[in-house]
Amino acid sequence: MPFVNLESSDGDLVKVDVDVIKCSVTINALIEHLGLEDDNEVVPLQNVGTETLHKVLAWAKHHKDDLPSVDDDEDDPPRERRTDITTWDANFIKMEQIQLFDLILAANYLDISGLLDLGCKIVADMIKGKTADEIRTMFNIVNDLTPQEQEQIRKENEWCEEK
Amino acid sequence: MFENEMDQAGCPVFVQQYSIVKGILEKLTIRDLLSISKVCRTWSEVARVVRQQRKNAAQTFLWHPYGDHTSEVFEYYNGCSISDECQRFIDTAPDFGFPSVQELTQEQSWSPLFPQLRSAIIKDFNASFSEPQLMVVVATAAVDEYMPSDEDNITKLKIILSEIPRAIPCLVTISYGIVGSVKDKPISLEMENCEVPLVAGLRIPKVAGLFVKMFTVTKETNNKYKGKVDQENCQTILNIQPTDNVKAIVLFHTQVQKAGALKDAVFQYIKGHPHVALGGGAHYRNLASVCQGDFVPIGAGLIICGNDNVNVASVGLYDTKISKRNEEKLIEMKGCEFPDGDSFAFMFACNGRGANMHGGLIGTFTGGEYCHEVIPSRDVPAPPKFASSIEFAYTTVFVFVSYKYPTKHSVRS
Repeated sequence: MPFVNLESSDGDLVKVDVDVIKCSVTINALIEHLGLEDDNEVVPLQNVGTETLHKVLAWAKHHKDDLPSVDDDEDDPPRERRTDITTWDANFIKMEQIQLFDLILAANYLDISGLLDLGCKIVADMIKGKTADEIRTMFNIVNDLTPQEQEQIRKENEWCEEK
Repeated sequence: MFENEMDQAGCPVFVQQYSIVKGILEKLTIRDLLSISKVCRTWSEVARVVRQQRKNAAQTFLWHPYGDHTSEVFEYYNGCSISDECQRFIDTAPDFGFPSVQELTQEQSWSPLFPQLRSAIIKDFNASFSEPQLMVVVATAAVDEYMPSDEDNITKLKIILSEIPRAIPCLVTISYGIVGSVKDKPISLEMENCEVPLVAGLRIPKVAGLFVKMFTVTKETNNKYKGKVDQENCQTILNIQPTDNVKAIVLFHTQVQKAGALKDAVFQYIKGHPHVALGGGAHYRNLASVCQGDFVPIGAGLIICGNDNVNVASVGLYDTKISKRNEEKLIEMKGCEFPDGDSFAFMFACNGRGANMHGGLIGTFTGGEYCHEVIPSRDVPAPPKFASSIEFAYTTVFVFVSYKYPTKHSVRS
């Protein structure tokens, strides 16, 4: 069964090589459980829009020959491979914030660890060195900590705060 | 659907999804996590989990005052960069260098930079991590006659490490060359001539099930048991209690000919307990173990004890090239699947490298290695027949220690 049809939340059908999308634990499990044997079977992805799905597939296609992360290679230090963002990935991930967030959600839903990791790294870079206020503004987060909780956190952090 | 979706408060959906937030926060330093704990309740909780996890990992550090590494003095703690304060000292120092040994021993005459830098380093150290159960430091000694003596090196080491051994049990060994790797940033240091010791260190964390203690053997103990070591007193020499669940012995041997009782004790113990892993090496000139500020120059080592979650493997690669036999061993080692982050490793080598082999690795170049191979996927090995059976030359010995509990999500509760 070389192909599978994915249906985006916008109702668009995308035909994908199973080999490309095998990086998605979610789709792999769906294929196994549903026992899709017919090329015309459709896997509905209610949480992924067409635009995002195409991005996910572009990433998956580029990385389809990557070694599984558990497979260490003597000549290639695993540390390096896991921490460095390749040029291709760096160019790929250049996109609007809202698209990036959608991509992260999709990677999480489809359980694609490499893509999720990449997205998280980019967001982590955005957060680096920012204050709590700046982070809240950046993501429009409401501070739901009570004054008591805030005081508790301040106390817990006191020992390692800059003096 | 999630596409372009904002929740009622107008923030992107992912900021409330545990697994995504955790994935992001895991890539940040402790300092950033402090800010994040004030953002909102969800992020605060996730930040706490991430910090707890990070504290429960072994950490390596490197000190390299010269060369290309000058701008990266006390590097990266488990992926955490040094503080801005520390960075500022380094950036603004036009001629960053260490004072002479005379300056070092006369605290009043230090250059103004050095004590400040040192205090910043120690502050970083204290701020970033919870207290480890044991610290192991390997340092280089100068190797030619133009360089300062061992005594000078010990004096410098004492000053560099200063307050740390007073707070945490600390084993320090001096060898000709060191190997070290810093997590997430492969840097290796190897044999070098240097006026100031190069230092690689490993902080062994306090985690459930893992208990590591050090032992030291003084000249007096060695003389007392010389030629009289048996199955009983070997435990006394090695500081092993009957209740200890010993998994491995890591030996930082010195002056083989003068510390025969220690070697015999290790042989006797392994003979009676062939499932216990052994790795180690003899240091050419000097070995010092620091405990409460004292240097005791004779044999020392670690006893690694643990519950079911602790797995130890020791493997010796006996040739200068990777032979078929060694290759098979490496494949078996990989089969053990020791997790990065929840494990650490030691290396002792004549001919060999390997700083990038494992996340938290420190090692030294030694004059003769010790090994009793234990690979968890194999059967219990046969006990060694003679004391010489655990001694090797031109070998690279690794001791891998893993302390991961099988229940992956226990930390979330």
